[in-house]
This record gives sequence, structure tokens and C-alpha cells, in this order.
Amino acid sequence: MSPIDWVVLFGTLVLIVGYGMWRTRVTGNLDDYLLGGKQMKWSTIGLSVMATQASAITFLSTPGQAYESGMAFVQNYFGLPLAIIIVSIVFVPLYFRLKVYTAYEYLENKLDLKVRLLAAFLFLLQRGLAAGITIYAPAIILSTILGWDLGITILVVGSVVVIYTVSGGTKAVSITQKWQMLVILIGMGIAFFMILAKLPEGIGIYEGLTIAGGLGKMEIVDFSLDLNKRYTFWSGITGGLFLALSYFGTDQSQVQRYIGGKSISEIRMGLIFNGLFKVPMQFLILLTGVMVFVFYQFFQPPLLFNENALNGIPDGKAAREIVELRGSHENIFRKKKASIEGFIQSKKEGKEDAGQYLIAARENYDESIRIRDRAKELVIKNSDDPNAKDSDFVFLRFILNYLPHGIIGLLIAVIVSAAMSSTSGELNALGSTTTMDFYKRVISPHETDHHYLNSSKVFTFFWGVLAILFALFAHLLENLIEAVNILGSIFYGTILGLFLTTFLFKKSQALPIFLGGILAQITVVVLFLLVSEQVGYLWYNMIGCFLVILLSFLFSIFFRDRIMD
Amino acid sequence: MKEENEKPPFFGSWNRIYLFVLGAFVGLVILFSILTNFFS
Repeated sequence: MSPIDWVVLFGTLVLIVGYGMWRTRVTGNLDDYLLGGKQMKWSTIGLSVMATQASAITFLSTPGQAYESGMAFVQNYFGLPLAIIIVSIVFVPLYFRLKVYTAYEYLENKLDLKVRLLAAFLFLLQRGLAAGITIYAPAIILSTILGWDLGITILVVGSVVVIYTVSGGTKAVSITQKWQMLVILIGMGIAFFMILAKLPEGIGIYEGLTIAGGLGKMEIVDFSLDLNKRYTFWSGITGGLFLALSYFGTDQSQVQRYIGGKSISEIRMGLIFNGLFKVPMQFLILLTGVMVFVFYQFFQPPLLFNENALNGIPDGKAAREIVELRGSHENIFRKKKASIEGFIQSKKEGKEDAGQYLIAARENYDESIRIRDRAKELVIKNSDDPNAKDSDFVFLRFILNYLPHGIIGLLIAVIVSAAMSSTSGELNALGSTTTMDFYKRVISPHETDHHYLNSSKVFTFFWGVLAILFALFAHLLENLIEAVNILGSIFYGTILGLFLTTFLFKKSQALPIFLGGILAQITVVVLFLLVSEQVGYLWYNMIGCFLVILLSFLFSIFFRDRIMD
Repeated sequence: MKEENEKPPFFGSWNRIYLFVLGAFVGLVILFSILTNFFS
């Protein structure tokens, strides 16, 4: 990175955080701190909801995922527009009318305290662990590729987030998220057009898409009912719907973004903004990755994008094999490039041999994948730095190698902004839930408004420090990281199930629902431990949700019979 | 309850907005299908 990149990076971050802190320098009362004074407009809500969901990993991993597996991942978001409509119709009026501070307050209002505490506890458990990973995951990639110290990166990013989240509360989070999201959108837009400009002469977006399609990257929608396929239209609108419904309807880190809205209309408009633009945004991020893929069909890509992992292999048999693989990788690249150029030329001239060129390009591409896979295997077996998937490094490596200075700084700012915005939303929600659902409701119910305001700050600070500590020591727990990523889906189903059962059941049935929730959660965890290989994690959302409804129903029959006896 | 009946801007009713979102989503899926068939 050059000095101009550092100026752009720090300038962007300092301006956004400084502006957020200045706008919230005076915090009046608890409503101001937890609900942003109930003054938020739809634009702030919309961008803030989007920013909470889009973590740094979204912008690092998604283009890399498209580079390796194509566009199919966009189907994961197909349940989102429908979920947004359901949340707008059902959840938003309930939360707004009851003037709740947290989503879980609603459960006590409708049922009783223990159901509220169960849902709040499950939220704290999974979000508390996830917050550390939200900081750690991008920090490890940035530090690996930029040579930054991992500990300092985590401490700097984490501390800045903690400072503005603790001092300004929900309003500071939402205001900074709004500007962070704008920087993210502008940065990604610039990156997309710069990649197009970097393609060789005669290769525009149409030719690029033709090449990507020819090599199997343009299978965007798949209507097949094959359960073994990870991303299909059907898994997107079913599993994806349940995931989005639990996330937008019952996850406090999202609910807090919109319950501070000025009116139901403002909240709904903010959510609808996400329902309309989230899928196209993910599509464009994936398309950016596909265009990076097209670029690397004409310019030699590295054997692995995480060069440090390759360099970490000690001298010996494996290192010698890596040297051989590099040579084969370069050879196959040249052959593949010639086939692709022949394919495009023939296609333009309408010649019949275009198909033959494409077959040759596909064979060469398959061979290059085999070479890369072998290199990855060697890294896993021999390197002391096999910390992340190689696809996570694709986009950042491209940015650093091929984009001009200034833009590099802006795109690193995009990644750091995304890390900050999602972490701040999480810490803010963790602090609010601890204060309102546990401290105020159970531990110390008769204090002043000012006391709870200070308590919120203390709890937010506590969760922030915990997240930073977790991030600092996460490298010791490599296997745990994947588990934490899946953790969301393990708990979301149960939490959504508790809410849906609450809509369906009467107040007198709080105990069956509480027991149903606990048993469902235990079952999902056991199921995950026993058959995690066979069941895609997206399905746990549905399984958990249905289990809560079914078990609550069975318990309610059991208790009714006992009462009648 | 008055809040819930509040009319949204531009579209006149919330149901129309929800239909618009669904319509936009269906349009996107059709566009994605066309792109899939055209380029694959």
C-alpha cells in the first residue's frame, strides 16, 4: 500500500466514525441510546439493515466464491424478499405498537418471562461468539496479505468500534452504518468498472460473460430438485426464507436497526429497500468475482492466491512438487488462453470450430483446477499457515496487484467499514439485550432511566472486550471458527420457532412452548453433532423451527390431559 | 392502530408495494434464467 492508500483508508474511516460520534455527542436518555430517539428515517434504516448483514467476509469471500464456483450462490438470497414482506406485515406492527426495546420483550408480552429469557439467552450465546469472528475473519486475511500484525489489526478495528458503539449507542451505529454502506456501494461499483476496463482489447462484458458461461460460471438459477446440490432455486426460497425470516424478524442485531424508526411507514420502507436491492447487490458482487475470473483467463494467475501459505511449506519433497506445479500451472494457462482467444474469435466470425475451442478450453480449465487442488492439498499437509480458504484471497490479491493506488485504499476501507458496521450492530444488540432482557427485567428492576443508560454502555463495552479477546485468541481454535459460522443456523430455527408458536398459541400455553423450545434446541444440537456431514446447515433453520412448533403442540396436549385428569 | 393504516408514499397502499417487491423478484428470477440459458 502506498501513502495515498493510507490517506484514503484512514481519511474515510476517521471521517465516518468522527461524524457518527459528533452527531451523537449528547445522549439524552435510554430511548435515545437504545432506539435512536425513535427518529430514524427509512434511508438510514434501509442502509443500516443492509450494513449489519453485510460483513467484511461478504466482500472478501463472495467474489472469491464466484471465481471458484460461479453465480449459483445468489440463490441463497431468494428467500429474502418474501421474508421482508412477512416481517413488514407481521413483526413490524407488533414491535412498534408494544414499544419494545428488544424483540424478545414481545415474547413476555404475549406469553411469559421464561420464554423471553430463553430466546434472549439463545441470541446472546450465538451472537456473543459470532461477534469475535466478525472481527477476526477479515483481520486474518488483511494481515496475511498486507503484512499487518494480526493482533494490532484486531485491536485497532475492535477498539474503534467499541468506542463509538459505547459512546453513541444505536444512533451512532446507524449513522456510521449509513455512510459505511455508501462507501461500500461506491467502492464495489468502482471495482466492478475498473475490472471491466482491465480486460484485454476486444473483450467487453458480453464476451466476458460468454467466456464465463462457457467455463460453467453462469449457472445463476437451477430449478432442479436435486438435494445434493448446495444452491438451487428451491433451497433458496425454502431454507433461505426461514433463515431470512429469523434474521430480520427475531435477531436483535437486525430488529434494533429498525425499531428505532420514526413510524411504521419509515420502518417498512427501510425494509422494502432491502427486499428490492439485496438480491441485485449480491448478484453484482458475484458478477465482480466472475469478471475477476474472466480477467485471469488472459493474465497469469498465481498458483494459489494466498502466497504466504505456499511460502510456508518447508524445503523438501513438497516444496519441490510446488515448483513443478507452478510450471504446469503456467503451461496450462498459456494453452487455455490460446483456446479461449480462439473460441471468442471464432464466435465473432461465426465459424463452426468455436465449439472445439471451447471443449479444449474446458479441458485445460479442468486441468488447472486439478493443479490448484493439489497445491491446496500440499498446503494443508505441510504449511504452518493453512488458515483460510484460498478463494477468500482472490479478490484482495487482485485489488492489490492490478488496481491503481487510491482505489486500493478505498477498497481496503470498504472491507474495514464492512467489518466495523456489522460488529457495531452486533455489540449494540448484545448490550441492549443484556440490559433490557436480563439486567433490568430480572436482576435490578427498579433503577432510574439514567442507571440503565449507563448499564447499557457497560454491557456493550463488556461484549466489545469479549469479542476482541475472542478474536485475539481465535487462531488457536481453528475448527471452532467454522462451527461458529454454522452456530447461527443452529439457534435461529429455535428462536424463530418460539416466535411463530407465540403467534399461534394462547398465553396459557407458555410452559409447553418453553419446554418445546428447550427440547427442540437440544435435538438440533444433537442432530448437528451426529449428522452434520449429511445435512446442509441451511436446513437446521427449518428443522429447529418445525421442531419447536411440533413439540410445543405435543406438550400442550400432554399438559391439557393432565389438567383434565 | 392509526399508524398501521398509514399510507405509503407513491403506491397508495402497502399491498401494492408488497406486490411490486414480489413482481420485481419474479422479474429478477426470469432475468437470471434468461442469462443462465443464454450464456451456459
